Amino acid sequence: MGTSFELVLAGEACDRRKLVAAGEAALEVIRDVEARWSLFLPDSRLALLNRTGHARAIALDADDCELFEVAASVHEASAGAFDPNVARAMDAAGHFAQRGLTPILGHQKGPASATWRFDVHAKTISFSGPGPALDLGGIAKGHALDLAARELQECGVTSALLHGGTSSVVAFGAPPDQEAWLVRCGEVEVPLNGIAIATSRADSQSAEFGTHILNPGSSVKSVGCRNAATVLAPSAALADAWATALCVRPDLSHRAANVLVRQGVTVLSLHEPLHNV
Amino acid sequence: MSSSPLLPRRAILQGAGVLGAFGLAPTMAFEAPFWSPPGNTKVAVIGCGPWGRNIASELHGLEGSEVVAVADPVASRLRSAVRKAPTAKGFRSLTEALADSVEIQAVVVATPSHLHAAIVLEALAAKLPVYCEAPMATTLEDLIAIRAAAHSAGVPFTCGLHGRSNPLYAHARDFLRSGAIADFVGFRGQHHEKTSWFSPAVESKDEAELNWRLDPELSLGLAGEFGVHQFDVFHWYTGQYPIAVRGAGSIQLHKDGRKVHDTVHLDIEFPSSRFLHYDATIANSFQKRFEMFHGTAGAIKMAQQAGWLFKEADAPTIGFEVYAGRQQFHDEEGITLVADATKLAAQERIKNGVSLQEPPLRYSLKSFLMTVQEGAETHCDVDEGARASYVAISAAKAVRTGERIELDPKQFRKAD
Repeated sequence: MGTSFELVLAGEACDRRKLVAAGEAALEVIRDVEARWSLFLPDSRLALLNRTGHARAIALDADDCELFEVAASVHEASAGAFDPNVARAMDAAGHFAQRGLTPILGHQKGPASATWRFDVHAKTISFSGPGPALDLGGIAKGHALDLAARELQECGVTSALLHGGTSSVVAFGAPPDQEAWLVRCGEVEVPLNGIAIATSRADSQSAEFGTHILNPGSSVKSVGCRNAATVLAPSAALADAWATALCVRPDLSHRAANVLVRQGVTVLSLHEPLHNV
Repeated sequence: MSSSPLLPRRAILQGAGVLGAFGLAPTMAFEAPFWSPPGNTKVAVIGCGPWGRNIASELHGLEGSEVVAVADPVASRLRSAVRKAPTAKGFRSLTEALADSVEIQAVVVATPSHLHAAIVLEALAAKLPVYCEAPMATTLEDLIAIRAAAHSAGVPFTCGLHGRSNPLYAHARDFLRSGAIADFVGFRGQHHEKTSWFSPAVESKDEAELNWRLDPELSLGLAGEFGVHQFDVFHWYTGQYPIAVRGAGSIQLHKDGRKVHDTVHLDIEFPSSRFLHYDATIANSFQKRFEMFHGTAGAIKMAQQAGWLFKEADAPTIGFEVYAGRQQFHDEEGITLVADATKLAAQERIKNGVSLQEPPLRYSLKSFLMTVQEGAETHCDVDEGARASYVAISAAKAVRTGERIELDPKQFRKAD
């Protein structure tokens, strides 16, 4: 995921030992998601998928299935505006090399029509043929936050705010003497309790490479450098996926309005990124 | 799952066969497949702490295995384990799982270390192949009982000492034993990991169960829990076992009333007056975990997913150096060790940096499944597991007492 995570846990001073241990457990969960779904670790599950997904399906556990259920649903509802199958295009555009990263893409190149398939019944992920290479970047970050928040609650923590790279935030409970955790989005302070917020911003990295958010499809290209989207959703993975889709295609905010309502997603802004937690 | 492009599954076992020439390799092999189930091996994972869940998750994703049961007395851990292995049914114990109608064909033991013996003996009594995490036990009596039961059970037994199944470690061992660093001078090892070792319990009744590592009556502490995996690497690489161990421990960070040290230092004496200087701490994470072998022509550093050779100025040039990647460590240059370097060089991949294609745990579990399915030789048999565990028990005693503990050579002898 290549980003930093921060956890703020609230509780009584006498609970400090338990809070620290719960935080350690949550960070371990985040490390585990990184180990499974990093595009840059040769022994990750994603590296295995990118290398061999055209030849065999990869078995998923219940947590993995949650991740790919979100990815598949937003991919479909956004008509492909959200599509993790952009790793080759990202690599070709120089975004990884610019950051000194070597993605694990596999060596198989194939037809452009080849894509990824999540089988919800068999609980597997595979490719329809050689060629695809997934980059789960933002959605994996959100997924890590969701699992970490769940771990904290299972450890008995009742109030916490977690963020990944400040662009994805999930919170539950409230800090001491306040009604909710607050996140600033533009001029607005958004209260968070049991909900996540994510922002996607196509800030131009350089004139050479264009923005780091690509518009998937037959002719992959960078989205405009002024595009930004911030959304609230029941999970950070869902928020991240929709923020990306809306950054690519802002018109989805009304074209996919029914789906957004059904999934509990609120579009906060199509211009203002998150600023301060 | 695919085999590693670096070293296919078969190659791992062939490598183990070569090691037999040094008289240290695992000895348990079955002339014919112990048992060849038509489909996946149905595995029970006993113990659902973080490591047990990790094992359940790996086995769930492995071709040739099906996790049919997970067992733990703590309900929250059991729920988490079932999420990691959705094909599994949850139980409170192995006893409960064996009494159920679910078919179990192999048992993986990942409970707290002091509970291993009873579960291993129960599984072996049921004639089930066993994979037992290390240390195998926390007392010499339990080790002897496990060793005897494993030898008489006639089913595969693997100790989860992962260095021996790690293809990079196997490659580096071959390299080292071919004289790459010439004569040994001494050894160093460390495990640094900043963590509290405390597990919060949702229900207070579970707190003692979850925090067994902080109970000095039950736990071997850092010397045992961390050290055992690394002591075995030194045994395996050098072909020698320690003569004596001295130790010291302290609490540097976690001053919360605990009795188990958060920092330990060991001096482990090997034959020919060579020493392993080992330290482990949960108060600092710098450089994490590694094993170092100092020789008269250079040094080799192994760090699970990666390994390096540091040459002395007067050391001869080695063939693969021309292909090899290099990394700078302050004023030392490390030559990256890569399994199957020549083949990778031909593919022009080596200079880009090649690391293990799978996590070390997956290699270990794959190797175990092959002992069950194909009668393959285990990467770490009960004797080697017991030897490393005996050193861990002795090291823990040295830390606890502050005394020099002499090791009994009988514990390192091969079984008749």
